[in-house]
Amino acid sequence: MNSRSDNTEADELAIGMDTARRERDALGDEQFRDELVAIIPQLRVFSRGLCSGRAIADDMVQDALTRAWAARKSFERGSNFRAWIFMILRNQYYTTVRKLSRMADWDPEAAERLLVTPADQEWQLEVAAVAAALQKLPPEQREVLLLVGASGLPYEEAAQIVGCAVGTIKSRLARGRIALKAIIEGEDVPMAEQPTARTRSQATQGRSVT
Amino acid sequence: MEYRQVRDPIGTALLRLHDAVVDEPLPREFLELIAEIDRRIGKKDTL
Repeated sequence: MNSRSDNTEADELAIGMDTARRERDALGDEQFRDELVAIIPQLRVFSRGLCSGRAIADDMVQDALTRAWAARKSFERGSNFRAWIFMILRNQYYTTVRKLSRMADWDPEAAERLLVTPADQEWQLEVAAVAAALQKLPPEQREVLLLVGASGLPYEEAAQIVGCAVGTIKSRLARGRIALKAIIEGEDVPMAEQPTARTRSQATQGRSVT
Repeated sequence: MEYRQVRDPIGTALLRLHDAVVDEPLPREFLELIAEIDRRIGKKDTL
């Protein structure tokens, strides 16, 4: 009886310590808010590169911000905030592609076309051409070009976000650059790494952040 | 921004794409979202 009582007290103590540790490790709301606001432009670049159309891309960023805010207590101080929130946005993108592919008879290519809309007219011609060319790449190459080439993230951080090895990031970047150049120059590009529902599913497995 | 990487047109193009989005004013929906967060945490100096 006593030992059961002791165990209960020990459990309560452990729970209390765990809660205190989490509170100590979590960012304060105001600090979290500042990090969130500062990263918005970078998230918009990534999202716009993934799906091109401004409205869809911005909707996705807003969803990611809302999810990140809701999950802020699970973010540990000292962790990589940028990688964490980029992962949330990336998951959001692939989840939407999967949802749309279910609506489109399990056709991931058709689902992606629903997300990828023509670049906005207000973009400069040159930027619009690059954005349009990016949409012709497999998402696996597109996201690496955006993370490393456009946003300047280190290979290691891109690998953390995408959930693959650094070597894979480097090879996707190299192939993506060659393909992008060829598309911009009007060449016919064989897509060596076409995305499939399976690869997308693998890419997003185990990445829940909440 | 000045783009000096003339030998790397793809890198330059990606940077231009990056800057084109970053330089855009933040749409109203984002400002509203930030204001909502500020309201919840009791921050007075909202955007």
